[in-house]
Amino acid sequence: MPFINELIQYSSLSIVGLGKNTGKTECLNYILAHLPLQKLRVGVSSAGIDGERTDQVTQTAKPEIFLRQGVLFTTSEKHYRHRRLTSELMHISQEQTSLGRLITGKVQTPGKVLLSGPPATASLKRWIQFLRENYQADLCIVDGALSRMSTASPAVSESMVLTTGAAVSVNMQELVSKTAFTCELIHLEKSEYAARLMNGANLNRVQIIDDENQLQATPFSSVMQLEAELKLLIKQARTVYIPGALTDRFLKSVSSDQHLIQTPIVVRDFTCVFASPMTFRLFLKKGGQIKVLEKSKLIALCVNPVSPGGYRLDSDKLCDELADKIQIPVYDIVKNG
Amino acid sequence: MDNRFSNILDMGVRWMFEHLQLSSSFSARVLRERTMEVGPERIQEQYRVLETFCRITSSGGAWEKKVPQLQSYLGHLRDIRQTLSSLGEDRTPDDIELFEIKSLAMISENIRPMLNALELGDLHLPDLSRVTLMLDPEQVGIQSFYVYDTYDPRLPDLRKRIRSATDYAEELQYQVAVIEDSVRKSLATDLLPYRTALQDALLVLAHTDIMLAKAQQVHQLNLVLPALDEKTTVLKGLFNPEVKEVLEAEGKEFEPVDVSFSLFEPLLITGANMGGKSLTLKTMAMVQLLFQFGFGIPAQSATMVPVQRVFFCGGDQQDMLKGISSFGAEMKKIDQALALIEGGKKILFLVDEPARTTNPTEGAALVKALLQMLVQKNTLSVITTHYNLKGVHCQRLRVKGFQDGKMHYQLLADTLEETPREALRIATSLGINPRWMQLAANELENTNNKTQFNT
Repeated sequence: MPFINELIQYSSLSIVGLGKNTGKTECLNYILAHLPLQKLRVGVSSAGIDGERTDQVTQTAKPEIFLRQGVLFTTSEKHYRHRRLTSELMHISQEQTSLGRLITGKVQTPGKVLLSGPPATASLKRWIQFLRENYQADLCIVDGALSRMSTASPAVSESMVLTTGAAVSVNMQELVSKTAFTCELIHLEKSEYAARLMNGANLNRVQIIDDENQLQATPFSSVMQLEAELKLLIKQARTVYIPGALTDRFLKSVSSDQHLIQTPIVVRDFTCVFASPMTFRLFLKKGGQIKVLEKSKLIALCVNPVSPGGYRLDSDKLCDELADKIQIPVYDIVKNG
Repeated sequence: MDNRFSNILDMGVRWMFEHLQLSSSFSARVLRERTMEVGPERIQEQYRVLETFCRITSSGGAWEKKVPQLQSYLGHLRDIRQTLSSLGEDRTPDDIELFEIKSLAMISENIRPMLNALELGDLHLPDLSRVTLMLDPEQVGIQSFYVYDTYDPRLPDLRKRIRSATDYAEELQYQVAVIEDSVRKSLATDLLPYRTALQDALLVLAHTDIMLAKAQQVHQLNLVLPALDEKTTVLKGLFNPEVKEVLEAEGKEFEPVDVSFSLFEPLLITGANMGGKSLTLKTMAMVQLLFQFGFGIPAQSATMVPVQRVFFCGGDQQDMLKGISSFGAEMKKIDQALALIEGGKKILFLVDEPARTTNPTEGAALVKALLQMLVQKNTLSVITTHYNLKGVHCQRLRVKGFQDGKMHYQLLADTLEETPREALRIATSLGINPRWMQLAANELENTNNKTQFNT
């Protein structure tokens, strides 16, 4: 059973797609079908409105989530009413979503359900905590929103599975390169100062570890304007923590200064990197370093070689090329599942 | 604007409301929807209940240790009035609605023995044990719900077959869904006779939550429960909890105020600028509203007269959108109140420095005339002013004022008819341009000399 054994070592997992129709739902169904439920209490939900029967953009069929007996699931009131299984209603949350309140149920007889869960990162985090505390869930799975990587943030879940496929690009080289870049970001190294920076005064401000190894909070809340004073601080620092997004513009201006580029940059996690592959790689080539405060474990990459238009890439070749680039297991679940 | 609680929040009550530790947001909604009690009996009854709650939740009281448990039950209270009112309307409730009803019945059954033992009249929970039994047929005692196997003899076998199927058993699932639906339908019929009891329980629980929160507020903020009187309001050691908190955070102390006033005799408060007249007046408005909504009163002791409405007129009434000046807006507001008073309504009428924006001669005349209008009216009225008013039949209090380099906010009985002249002293103490102050002092002296010469 590929990667399931590794999966169950973590208490939370998110499944994110690099794009629509990359087989995210198949991947989730595969995982749910293979988890050892007799040993493990599993909870599942989705980030925001997902799980429509048909894809709202491309109008292609989307598989429902199949749940086995004993699984806890959280979905909106609307989708709870439409469930096609028998479940024990355990809890109604006060949190409102566009589809009503969030309902948590426990499957009594297996069947199908549409998932639409907590909409934001913070509420997903609360959901995981809620299930762990109240129902002793061992593993909480978040069906991440499409093309919203933030749901895979390590602030929410410890581990992740990424799905990619022909829907992202039917050009294999482009697909591999796009996927590899995302994996590269997920693999960004955790800063040696991560713990100190995390406990720092304010994660919404630029913070530095100065040359005397002291943590300093600066008054700057962003690096949009790279002011002279801030430049000086960064030059003298051992490392600099940047709140929010890491943009092309900032990386370019740091790249062009041979003193600035010496200081390793720390961002919250990989979802904060918004730089283009070009700028990002150029920065690293010039000797720059980017690290993160929190890192999630990328357990596997699942590929769907079929595009919504019906175009099919060579599955074996795609898996091989990807595995070669990113050094983690790559699976075609539809073919091998 | 009616006397609904949500409408009076802006009259200083918001802080008290926000510092009320209600367990459920539904209780907050019930409180906001309440209208002000005007009848003395109802107010008395509310305080009788609150008194009991204060007693049993105080240290050493019978409920002292039970409050957290009660609050955790009440925390699960939800607004299911819609669900309850649609029960029986030819529609089958779904699992979500049945879960909500079960949850309500279980909360109610958990609290019922304790609450009913207090014998507090209306605050009495109906017996919902039959409802709990109906919705928890296996008597698990957990707040969860589904159409249990015990509801229909066909269910266990069908469900067993679904569980053992290798693939999604669509046909079996369909059969189960049909049975589940008929079970829900018959549950709805069985529940219908309990609808009123469930509705009562929901409100009684919300009021219990409100009473618990009010009692805790009494303990935390050192509030008192007032006595009722037909004629005279006496507030001793009155304080504004919100301002008190702000001052204490700055290391300062709030000076409590004693004030009393009666029907038929308006009260005139005079005194220096910055003497806290407006704050006292606002606090009086707030306290009256708290009283008629049955809250603890921020004072050392309180005796209060119920009124039909609280009318506060103060601050800048200017309404630029309507093109009315501050003077015009103020006059209109006072006019509304006078109409109520002349119509025989018993109100609390509080006016902060009426006619302050017009010239002193006419202003003084307006205030004096207003006081005359209020004498012998079946209403409680308090007016603050800067003007010197002589020969008016009213009760007078004066702010103690600026003494020993410090402002004193207490109110003293005032026999003098002269307003103390402290404006210059206060302005000087604020460090206002000294040349200006000197010129003003000279001017004052000239005027005084002239007056003396003339007399």
